[in-house]
Amino acid sequence: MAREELNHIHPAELSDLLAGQTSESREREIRQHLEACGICQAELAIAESFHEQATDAVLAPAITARIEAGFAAARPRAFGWRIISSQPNWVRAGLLAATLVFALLGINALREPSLQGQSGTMRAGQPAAEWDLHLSEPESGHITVAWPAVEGAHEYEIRLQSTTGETLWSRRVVASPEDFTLEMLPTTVRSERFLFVTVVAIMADGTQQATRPHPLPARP
Amino acid sequence: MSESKQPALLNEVEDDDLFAELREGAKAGDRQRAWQACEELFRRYRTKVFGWCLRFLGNEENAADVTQEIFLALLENPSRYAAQNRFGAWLFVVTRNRCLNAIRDGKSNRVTDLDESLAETLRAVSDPATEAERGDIARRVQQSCSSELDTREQAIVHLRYHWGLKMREITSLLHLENASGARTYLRTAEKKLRRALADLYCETRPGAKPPVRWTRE
Repeated sequence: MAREELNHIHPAELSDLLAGQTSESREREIRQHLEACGICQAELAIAESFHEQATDAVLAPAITARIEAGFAAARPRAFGWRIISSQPNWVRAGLLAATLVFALLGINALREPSLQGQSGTMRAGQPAAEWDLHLSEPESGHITVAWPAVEGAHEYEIRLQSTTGETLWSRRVVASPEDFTLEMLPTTVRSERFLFVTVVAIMADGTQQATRPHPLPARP
Repeated sequence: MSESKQPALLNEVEDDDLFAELREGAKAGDRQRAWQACEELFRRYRTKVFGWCLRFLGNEENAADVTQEIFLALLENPSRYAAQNRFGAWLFVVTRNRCLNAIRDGKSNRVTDLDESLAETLRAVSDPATEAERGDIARRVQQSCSSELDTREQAIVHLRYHWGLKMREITSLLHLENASGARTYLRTAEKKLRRALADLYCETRPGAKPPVRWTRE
């Protein structure tokens, strides 16, 4: 219904009024209308409740994951990935197969130099916020996870988790970085719409330290 | 989401400047630029939007889904309300509209059904065959609301039947300080409306009499 036809005030104008962003003459007109219109009074109360809503409440992790998952999926893909995803299936399959062959032959020279810089050693017990992983954009379905070494860690576990935090796939390795391809993941994991990557450092005494989960970049 | 990865400068940019950056990025087809501005606005406002949606939808899952939709709309279509350059106004209008749509689609535990006898009236008067007749009747119902009810009653009817709010929520939103809050006002408003709409009922159902309780009240 066209609100203008009924001469009601548009909600955006009510929002501007509350924010003090309305000109004096327009504010006079609006206030005059509000005195005579119960519907706009109600809408003003609705707008007030929005502007008074706190911005810093703590959300439950499951809710945060639910909100973020779909939003993160809309992140623009890397240029290379866009080109690959626009190719016919047989071309994409060929590229993935070639990547697998390279990975199996252990051609580490193809790793991005920036990831090799992630080799500093972090002390055990250092706050998780300071200890984090780096995730490459998926090129040819090939993903590299890199992280600084943690002092005292004898191995690391890379985990792929669902939005609820459930571990769907994991692999134990002794050092950073680690490559994997989407193709090598079980179908049940690949079929998950949203996945998060975490690296857990496992100490000799069995204690663990995890990075925060990172959303896996959007997949086709 | 990469909160700690946001460049320090982006954290310091005002909402409206980020909104302008987002719109310019979208207009120029620079998705990466639009995304960065959008991600920062998302980080700042997701909690506020979720909290408000939860208040009006009363269901965590639907509130989370609507919150997600709102920020995706911001990324996909930031110029939809082109007249509004202020981000706060854009966010309020989109959040309000998305919540109302969810309420109408039954994705909330809100009850927007009219009081039974009023619903009966409206069903009866919205029966006519032609669009013009329906439009005429809608106008007259609207007129009845504005001519028969005082502004406070109009506000309460709007919050109850348009937004599906509970009595205590309406009482709190309108800062009503009387003992029974919005309830008394709503009862009075409904009586007035039934009386006013009885004539309309007779017109649209020739020969029929409106339910006795309408005219007796």
